[in-house]
Amino acid sequence: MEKEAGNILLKTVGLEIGFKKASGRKNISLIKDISLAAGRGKLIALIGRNGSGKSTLLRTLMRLQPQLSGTILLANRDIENYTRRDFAMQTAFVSTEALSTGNLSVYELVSLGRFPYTNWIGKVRREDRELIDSSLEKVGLTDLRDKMLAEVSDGERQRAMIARALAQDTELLILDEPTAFLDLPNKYEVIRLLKDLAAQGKTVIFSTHDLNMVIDQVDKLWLMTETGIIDDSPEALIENNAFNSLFPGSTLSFDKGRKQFVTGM
Amino acid sequence: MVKTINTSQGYRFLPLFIMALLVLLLFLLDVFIGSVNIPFGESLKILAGGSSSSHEWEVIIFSFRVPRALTALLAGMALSVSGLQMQTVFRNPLAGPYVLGISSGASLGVAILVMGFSPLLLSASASSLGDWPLVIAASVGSALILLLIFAVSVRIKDIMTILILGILFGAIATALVGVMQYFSNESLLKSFIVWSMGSLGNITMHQLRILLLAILAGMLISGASVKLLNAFLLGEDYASTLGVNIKSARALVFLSTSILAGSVTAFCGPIGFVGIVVPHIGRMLLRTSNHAFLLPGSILIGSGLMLISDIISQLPGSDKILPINSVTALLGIPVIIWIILKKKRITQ
Repeated sequence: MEKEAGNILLKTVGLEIGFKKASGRKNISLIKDISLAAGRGKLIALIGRNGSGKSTLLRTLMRLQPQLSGTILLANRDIENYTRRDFAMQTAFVSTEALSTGNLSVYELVSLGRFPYTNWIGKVRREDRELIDSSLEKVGLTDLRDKMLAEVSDGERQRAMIARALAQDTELLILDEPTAFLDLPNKYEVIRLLKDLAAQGKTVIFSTHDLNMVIDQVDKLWLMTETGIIDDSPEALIENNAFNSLFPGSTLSFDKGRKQFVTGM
Repeated sequence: MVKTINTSQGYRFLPLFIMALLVLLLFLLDVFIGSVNIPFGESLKILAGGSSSSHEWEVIIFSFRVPRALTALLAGMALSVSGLQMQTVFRNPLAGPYVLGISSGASLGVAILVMGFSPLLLSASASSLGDWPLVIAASVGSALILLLIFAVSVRIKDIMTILILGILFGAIATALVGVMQYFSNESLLKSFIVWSMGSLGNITMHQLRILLLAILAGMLISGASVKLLNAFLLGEDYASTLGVNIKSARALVFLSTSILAGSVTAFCGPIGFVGIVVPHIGRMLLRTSNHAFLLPGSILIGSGLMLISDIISQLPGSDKILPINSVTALLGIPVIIWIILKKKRITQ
């Protein structure tokens, strides 16, 4: 667990995630009793099998779906006690959902990140523009700012979505599989970008299947196993052979020296 | 996003300006053209407030043509803005002002009035029913369906479910109308069918004032929703993480859509295709989905398209008038087919 208790941004206490059913029917519980902590300025990867509840966890943390029980604390405050706008000023999200619009410019997309801050008609003021420009610069899209989303590559679009989240100017950034559907150079590019953002003080939590790629980069891993979520540093997890509990019943095993999975027992 | 000084947005003001000029031209053309031939110069003189050599011409211009052209202008913008909002909120390029079942509800209201109640009245009064009962019946009908949708939309999260329920409610209303048509007599059936063909010409100056007020109210709500609509472009999850209260935002958009589409339907009958087609033309011409531009764009294109439809429906040079609904269908359907065939290029 996290040692520096005073510097915790996000914390879950006895959290149970799953799907709420209409009254009278039983809720579907996915994982019970989750206790996780994310320190300020940390880069955290959420690892787990398909269907293990990664998206459900991240969506619950983002208030996109209700938890079944337990508490989520953001800056020591129950997330249910935030107004929508305050919460949007604290947390930003990049989901796996593909954008259905290609008819916005990169700049227009990123400027939507200023939504919680702008007035009723969404007028972008000077300080908003500065943040939009710096967000574009951080993800390296300054030159493409006037391009339409339909005209840029998948990797560029993903970076534009991240820039939109940056323009939201939040302490916490949560991304659901930001490296999915990207080719190798783009995957590295996105992970490097997330690492930079964490180094600049943002708390970044992202789910991924690319364990090999992130294990040397992240501060912590949230490992979803059949018995619950393990929250620890990559070194400690390797030491405790925790990765072997990730894919029970498969022929994959974790090679400590090479820091990656190998087949065969 | 309004007033952003940005190279990608500056050039969008010019098309809007040109569109506004075109709408003005089409409006004048619509006033000049009609079954009675009034010389161009005389029409201009009458419009400018001068006296004309013929009193009859003044009456024609002010009592018939101007209200008619204004109705076309208002109906076009209202239906287009409704369609735009529905396409954005439902994230469906083929959604339109009537997906919530508004027109079916209005039809049911009118059908109940024309075919259900009229036989109780003296047979002579059936044909002399004024416009007012019709308008009220249509409004009540669409409001009923709308209340249903509202009730559903607060309980149901999934937007596609709401879309399907809207279609189903509409289908129920249509089925009930069918039953009433089957049991009604010929002359009543005819007055219902005439209403359902749509008309821009049956509106008095007094009614026009009410339509104008309703559309102003609807447009004010739409204008205030520009920021919300832009957030909806990213999908409801993203809108939610940006701080949007999805259910109340949806309710706001449904409210303005029903005021806009409902009032036009009540006065002019259900007018098809304009609301679906115009937002696509807007996205194509303005090359953006940003509602700060697309909303005024849809207002202008919708007005223009409706004026063109009205001009065509009067069959210049003849004294016959085509039903407006057929004209908008004949103009709109090819555009929709073209949209479907070019689907790769249409994005929201």
